[in-house]
Amino acid sequence: MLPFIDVFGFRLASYGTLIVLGTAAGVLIAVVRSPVLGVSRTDIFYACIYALIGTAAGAKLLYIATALPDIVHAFDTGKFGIKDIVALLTGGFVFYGGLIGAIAGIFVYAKKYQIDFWRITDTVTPSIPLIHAVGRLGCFCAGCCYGKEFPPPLGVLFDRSPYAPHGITLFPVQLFESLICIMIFVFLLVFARKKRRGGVISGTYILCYTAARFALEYFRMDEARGFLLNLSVSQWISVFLAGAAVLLIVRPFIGKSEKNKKMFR
Amino acid sequence: MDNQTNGKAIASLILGILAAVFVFFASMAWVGIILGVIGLILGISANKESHSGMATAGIVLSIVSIAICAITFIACVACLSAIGNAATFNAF
Repeated sequence: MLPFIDVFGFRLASYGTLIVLGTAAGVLIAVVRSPVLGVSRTDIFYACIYALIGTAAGAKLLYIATALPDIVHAFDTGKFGIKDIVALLTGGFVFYGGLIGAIAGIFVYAKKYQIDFWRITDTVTPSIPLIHAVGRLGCFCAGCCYGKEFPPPLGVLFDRSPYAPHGITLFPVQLFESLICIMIFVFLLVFARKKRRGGVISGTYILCYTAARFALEYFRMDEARGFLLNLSVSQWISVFLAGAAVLLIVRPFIGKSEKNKKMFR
Repeated sequence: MDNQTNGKAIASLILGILAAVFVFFASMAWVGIILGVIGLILGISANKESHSGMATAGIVLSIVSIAICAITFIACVACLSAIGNAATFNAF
């Protein structure tokens, strides 16, 4: 665990640094892959920027939604100051909010500049698990998104983390999620080498990730994210997104209208 | 290049430069991120309408500024106290 790294005398947060590096690598791979589905490199680059803006907005909005009871409580007790607003704006991001925001960002770009939405989405999709994998390494370094109490040697002490509980060894769920994301990334790179029907690559990614995330939620301990009927908010979102992904993949087979055929050609 | 596109390109460059200034103010880096995002959108819009070096410079400056602001800002956040339980602020 390494919350900060010193580079030429500057103290950098390893979490932020890794997210920026992962994003740069993801955008680069999306741009390199752009000829596969016949979208220009410039359009993919600009769409990535829109997606990243959507990611930041979506991840933050969903985070604020899940942290709303704490915010209301802080307001009621009069403990909500400027520092807390700044901390609220930067300190928490929810991945699923980011994913939905990224899709919305690409949709806006595709609509605005009259480019096929699925071609852009399917080109960018394999980069998402790569960015996510590197981001989770950042979580491990910062000690956030930690797992349940777990005995050594697998259990890790997060005593330097400002987030994780100290003095107990925790399951390194961040590393496991990172590993799963890398596996999904490699699979998608191979799967997406061939031109597929619109939405299949994105649907496959969503299906793979939601299944993994649903299982991994049982190993996480940061329960402040919120629960509903014994399932965490992320598990509920996983269920709905997995359903949407299945529909996305099988839709051309169940709908035989001309509109469907045209949309998924 | 028409006047509107030229205006967007100039605005993008100016916002990119302003965002770069905020790189040096860790606690105000979030202002740099917002300015950089607006600069990016304007730069992309200007470049899509008519390619210009000024818009490209605005886009590049904005991207670099956002990246550095993001790193410094998240570093800064670790030093700030969160409301009540710190665990509520790291739900990534």
